[in-house]
Amino acid sequence: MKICFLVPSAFDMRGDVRAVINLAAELATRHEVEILSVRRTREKPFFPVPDRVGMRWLIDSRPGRRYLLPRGGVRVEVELWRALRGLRCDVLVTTRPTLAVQAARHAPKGVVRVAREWTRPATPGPIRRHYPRLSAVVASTERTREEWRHALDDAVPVHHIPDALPPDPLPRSRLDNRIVSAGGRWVPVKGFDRLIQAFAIVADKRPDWRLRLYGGGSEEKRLRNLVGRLGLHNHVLFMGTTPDLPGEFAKASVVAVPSLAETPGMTVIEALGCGVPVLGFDSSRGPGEFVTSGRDGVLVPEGPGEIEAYASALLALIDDERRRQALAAGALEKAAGHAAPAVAAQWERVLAELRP
Amino acid sequence: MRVIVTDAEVTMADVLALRMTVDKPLTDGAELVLRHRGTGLERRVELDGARQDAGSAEVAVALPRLALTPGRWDAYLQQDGPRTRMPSIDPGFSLDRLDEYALRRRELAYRAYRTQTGYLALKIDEARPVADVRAVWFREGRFEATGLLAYTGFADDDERRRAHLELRHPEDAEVSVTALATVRGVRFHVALSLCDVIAAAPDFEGLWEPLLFVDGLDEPLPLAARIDDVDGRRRRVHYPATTVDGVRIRPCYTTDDELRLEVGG
Repeated sequence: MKICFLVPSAFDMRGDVRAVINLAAELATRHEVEILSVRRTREKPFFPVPDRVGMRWLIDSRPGRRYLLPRGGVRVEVELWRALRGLRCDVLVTTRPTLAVQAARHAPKGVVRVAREWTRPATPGPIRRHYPRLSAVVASTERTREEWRHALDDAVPVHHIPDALPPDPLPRSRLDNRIVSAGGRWVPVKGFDRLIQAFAIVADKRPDWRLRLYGGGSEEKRLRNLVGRLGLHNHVLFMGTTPDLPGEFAKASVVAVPSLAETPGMTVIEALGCGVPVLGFDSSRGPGEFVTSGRDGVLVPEGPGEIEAYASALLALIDDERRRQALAAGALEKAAGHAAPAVAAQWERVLAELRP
Repeated sequence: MRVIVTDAEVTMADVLALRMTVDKPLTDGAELVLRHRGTGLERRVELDGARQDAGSAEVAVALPRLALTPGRWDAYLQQDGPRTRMPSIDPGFSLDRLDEYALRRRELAYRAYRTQTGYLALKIDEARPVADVRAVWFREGRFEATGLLAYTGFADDDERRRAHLELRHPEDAEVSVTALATVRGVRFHVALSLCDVIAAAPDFEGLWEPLLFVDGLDEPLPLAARIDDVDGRRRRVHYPATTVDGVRIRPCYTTDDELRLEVGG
């Protein structure tokens, strides 16, 4: 089977890109797999793509590249239309509603067209109009599946398949370092300011513990100022981006996920895969979709006093090594459901049903 | 041959201890191959006497006798055919073990680690005595730093030693600022008046170099942050600045992670 994943940019540091590469790498052991990136934003993909996975891009958006007409969105539409019309594969998996709409309109009819969805349906109009032409929608969580079912009114089959961890073995934390780690894009929705405020309370009581923040983004200056204002310059390290977030999580004893909304949740899944307990907020779209509080992590209610509650929960984990060990065992159990071979097998079953 | 390293540690005696899961038992003639990343230089060690159970093996390799040079060495296993790179699930990092390892006086510091691509490798650094900085503050008009003495051979006890901090002017060897420092066992604390720094060279703008002189050591110790896995502290840690008599002062790190006091700028 020849499978093509259509992504906005396979070169960026995003959880959905990581999830697609993990799945593609596993499927490529048995099928011909290609990632088609609409844009190429840097020289090499941020996350390494195995040689067995083919890689193509449509528009070179690296810094310094300029084009004459057509520009911007029109150029994307033209290139995408051209690529979709000439597509030669058995299965096309899109990874954004905008790409799924284009695939529904322009991809050859013989191709199985599947939309991979991580978020709720945001634009009901085009989705209701074009999605019925797709073969299926595959949601990353149960909640997302229900939302898409409701939005599509059973016009298209909607399945649930979780995201996959990398096929290679993940490092295993020994839970012996006085380190709390957090990773992701430094943008407001990730809530790193809440984490830093909570860590100020922790550092006051346990000054030998350190918080390591992995990632990068528009919030960096604001977060650094917050660290300076709270006098946490000895306790919070801005570690920058890394293509090996699991390797860094495995050095920690707790992974903090303070986000308001955690989609697709790859950082949470990777933390679980490394056997590290996850501490998050119990928000409607937070890590609760992946973490069972008290079993493989701890979820703190949002609302008034949330910072203090989060700090208390973190201190409780720091002070109780046996509890951390128990949660770590639960985390590894939970992560087994995200093992690449198991997830790829679910995809193969769904695709086999859809193929004529 | 399929192998996964589950535990990798360099002991206090510089012995690389590996625990692995293997799909075939290690046979006579199985070798650990270490390849220097920069030069391609190779060292081979026969893995005689490996302890083996069903599906797992434990080996120990004394590193000093391999005459390894500083740098990064990738690890391979060779048995009946082409060599295999060794995937590792050991995060290769324990803060407490690194502190313990740095207690001894050493010429080379060996560390087994997991590469970003998930394989076992060795990192070898020259190990000169250093005052490893753990925390820095500006408090009540003073610059303060605390941390551990590494590779000095001192015991981690409560023994007090006479010590002082000297802040050296980078351009004028005659100009320096000194202050008493506290050393107990391997723990140190230094504090220096910032007014004294400004008074010593009122018009100077640049980087002062702090050095810790400790009784019992031949050479002064640079203040640096080397005993962990964090390289490039310069961009990862931003210390807050303070202003003394209208002059801005800020601690910062050099590209090789040595602490400096930046005046002006």
